[in-house]
Amino acid sequence: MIEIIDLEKTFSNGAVATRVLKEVSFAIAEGEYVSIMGASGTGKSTLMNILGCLDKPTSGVYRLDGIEVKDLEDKDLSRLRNRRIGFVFQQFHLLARSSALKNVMLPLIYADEYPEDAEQRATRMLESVGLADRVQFRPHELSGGQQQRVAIARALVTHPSIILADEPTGNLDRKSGLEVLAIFKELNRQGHTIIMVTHDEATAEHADRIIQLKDGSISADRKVAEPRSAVEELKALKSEEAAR
Amino acid sequence: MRLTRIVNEGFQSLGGNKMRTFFMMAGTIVGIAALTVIMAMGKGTEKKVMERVNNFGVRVIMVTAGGGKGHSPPQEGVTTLRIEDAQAIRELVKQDVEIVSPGLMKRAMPVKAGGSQAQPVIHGVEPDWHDAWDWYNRSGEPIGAEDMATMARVCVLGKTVKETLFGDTDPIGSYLQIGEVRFLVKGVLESKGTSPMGTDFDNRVLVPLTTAMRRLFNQDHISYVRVKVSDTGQLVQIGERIRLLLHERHHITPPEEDDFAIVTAADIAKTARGISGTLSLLLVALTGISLVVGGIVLMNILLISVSERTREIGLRRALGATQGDIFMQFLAESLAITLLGMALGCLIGWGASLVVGMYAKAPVIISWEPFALAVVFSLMVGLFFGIQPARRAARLKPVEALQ
Repeated sequence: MIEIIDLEKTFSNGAVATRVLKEVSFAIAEGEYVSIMGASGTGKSTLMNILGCLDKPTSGVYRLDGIEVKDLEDKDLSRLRNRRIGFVFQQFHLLARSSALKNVMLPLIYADEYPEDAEQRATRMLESVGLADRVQFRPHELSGGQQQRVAIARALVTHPSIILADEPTGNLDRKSGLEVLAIFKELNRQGHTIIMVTHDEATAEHADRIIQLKDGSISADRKVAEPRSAVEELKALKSEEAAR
Repeated sequence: MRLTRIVNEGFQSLGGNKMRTFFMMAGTIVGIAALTVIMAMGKGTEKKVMERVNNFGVRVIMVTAGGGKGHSPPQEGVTTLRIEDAQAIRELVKQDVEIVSPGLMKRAMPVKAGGSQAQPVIHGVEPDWHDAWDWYNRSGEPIGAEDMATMARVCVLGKTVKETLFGDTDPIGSYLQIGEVRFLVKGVLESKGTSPMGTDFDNRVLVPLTTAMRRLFNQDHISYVRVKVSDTGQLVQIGERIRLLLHERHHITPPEEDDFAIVTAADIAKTARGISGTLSLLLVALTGISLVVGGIVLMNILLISVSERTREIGLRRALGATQGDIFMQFLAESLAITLLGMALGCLIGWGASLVVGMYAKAPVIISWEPFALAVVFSLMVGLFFGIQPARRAARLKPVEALQ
């Protein structure tokens, strides 16, 4: 599904060239739930951008579903993003003036074939993230957690190969964060491939595998022996609150 | 279709910030409104000009006694224009003209019949007067060559005179008295009604020119010579030839003032256009300036909106929008603004034209042309000033735009 071989990314700023990613290689199979972890400045955002086809590597190979991304033009890259990647961002990035429904439908506008049932599809996605009663709400009428769930519904609406989440819980309180992680776990259980970028170890451990970045290289790539369960932690949190 | 979806995205963003949308439209509104008014006024003026020229005679040169500029009636006191001048003109331009018809006009000569009295203008005319003026009898006989030769005491009446003196009865065969002389009524002219200035064209009596000169007024001078050319292209040139001839005959050396005036249909058109030409020019300038300034304002606000919406652009790119999609979205926005501005401008211009027509007494004609032109102009402004912002939006790198 994802194949990365000797990936390099160099940013040149005038005479100064900075190697942000060095000899990065890994593969992610269909149905995996992977965290990419690292402190800020370790190149994880750059890696995330390359994985999301928003940026191209300087050298090395990135294959997504067998497609060599490096050779693609803007048009094909855009199509690849639209079809195969569902983005979830730290700042949600919803259109402020559009309803939840319209936000979820947005990727379909850029699809080659606009589905006739676009609205029903978007509604189903919102239902699946527990927002059936918020379909016509605008972002400012929703809580942060709800906004992030709209964003997840938007990521899912095109049936992408992978869901790429960049610090999805970074702007959320603990409870909303756990709710988002619970959705990811459930999506993964249903067979979705999920890649989550985070700096937080506790968040990362909700995944089955952690790729650790350090100074632009992979310092560790390990299975999580016992992934955390967001559902369990939510329960614990609730009883904690009840006890207080 | 994908394009329609993208264009629709562009339209959607307009409703969000109505004040800004309005400012972006303002220039187009003013420009197009001005354009609509100009064209309505221009058309109205052209119609008025055509009417005046047609009234005057498209192929006509009038040589009138007395100097001065413009198209004014002959001056009665001036005695320098003589029947021999008409003969000389006829000789000079016989190749290029159909008719040279001299005439004499006198006001304030009472005309009586039975117990009634009228104060018409007495016209001494030659038989070709009818052709020269394209004005024929409704009934009876015209003034003929025989009448000229014998200085016959016959006359043809305008409708007003006929009604004043004879009421509803047929005047042909009756007699009337001009001054102290008895005249037989030969015919009645078609009615030409009243001029825009209020002159009653039908308040006239035609008599043979010879009769007028010898029997009525005892004078050798005439009031005017009406020349009808075959080719309108020759109007001005023939007018100039006549002027030179009369200079010679009247021993006038410019800058000495002429004792006659020559007015052609071309002069009439020029006067009729008058200040409306200047006014039009002003409005054309206003149109141009407001479209350009409005376009620049539009472009700048769009550029600002591109930087404000960087994240939105980044998001759209991440979700699969190509550079072309973003470009089209912003271009559609710009075009939608100018087209909306155009629609408003047309409405305002239409209303303004009606008001101008009512209160400024300037003739206005509202037609489809200004609206067609408005579409073309606003599309041009929208494209020209929309491309730069749209390009900037499209060139944003998704990675940077999302930060």
